[in-house]
Amino acid sequence: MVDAVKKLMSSGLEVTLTHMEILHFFRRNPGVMDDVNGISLRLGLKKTNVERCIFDLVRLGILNSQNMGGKTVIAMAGV
Amino acid sequence: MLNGGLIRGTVTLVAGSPGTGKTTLGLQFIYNGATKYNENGLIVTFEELPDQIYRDASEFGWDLRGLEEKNRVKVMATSPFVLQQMRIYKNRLDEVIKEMEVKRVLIDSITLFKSLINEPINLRKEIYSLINYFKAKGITALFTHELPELRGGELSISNFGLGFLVDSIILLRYVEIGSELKKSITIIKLRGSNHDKSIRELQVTSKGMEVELPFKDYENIMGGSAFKSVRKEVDKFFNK
Repeated sequence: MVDAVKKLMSSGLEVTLTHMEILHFFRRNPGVMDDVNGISLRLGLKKTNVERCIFDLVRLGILNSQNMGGKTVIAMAGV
Repeated sequence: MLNGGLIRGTVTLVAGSPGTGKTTLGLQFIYNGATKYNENGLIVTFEELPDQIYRDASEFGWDLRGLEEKNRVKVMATSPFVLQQMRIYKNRLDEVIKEMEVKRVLIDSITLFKSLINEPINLRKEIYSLINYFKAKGITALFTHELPELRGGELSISNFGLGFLVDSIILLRYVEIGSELKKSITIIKLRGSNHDKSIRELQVTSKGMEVELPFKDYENIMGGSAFKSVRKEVDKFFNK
């Protein structure tokens, strides 16, 4: 988690509370594997905000994304 | 009640209304498998988060997070759609099962497959396919299933024949006795084996779910409002 936060903070991205909430969520729930809509529902947050932040974290290699049946499924990297 | 336990490689449905203990029973099945029978387990949850599951399990002293760190148990929080894709198109589920040598699976809950396929015939086919997938791998699976009725009245397992697809059905229900809601457990079906036909009280203790004695001398347990049987009193009266 500490490494992930360091990576995020040194990425040059505008880090928001949503980024941190998503990081915290995956740290506490490493077994989550779901699409953006499912993750937004689990977080209780707006999908548009969550989507943007998730793809930032995917670009940084903190989260993984995989195409499954036309949907992008997100999981913690290395799990 | 199960005449020695669930038969390996079979699929059991644990059906009940909210709060009757379906998930707890499922977690106990996985925990006992990993700690007492050397059978690694996979928990697939569609609504509860892993964090919540670890917390709920720890109330009974079951350290699922610790078991996950030792690769004995895995908690996967996903959606029915992703599970379907993992199984059919990506073989990712195969990889998880093979890597961990999974012998027990809990799906919590199978009811949510309705969000994937609402139409009964295709839903039945999808679940039939999932059941056969686990059986082909020799995995003993437990599916929880939500029944909306809290107690009493007509009981229907599903509108798509779910009860016919599984090997065993364990029914958890509330029963009102003396202005108190008690939990009951009964085995509706156990393919390939004899089973206890009684309706027993189910208690949630600090160690998990414990099956108590049958509701003796009560009638209409399945109806939801039990009453003391008067048969003995009548017999005693007429035999005086």
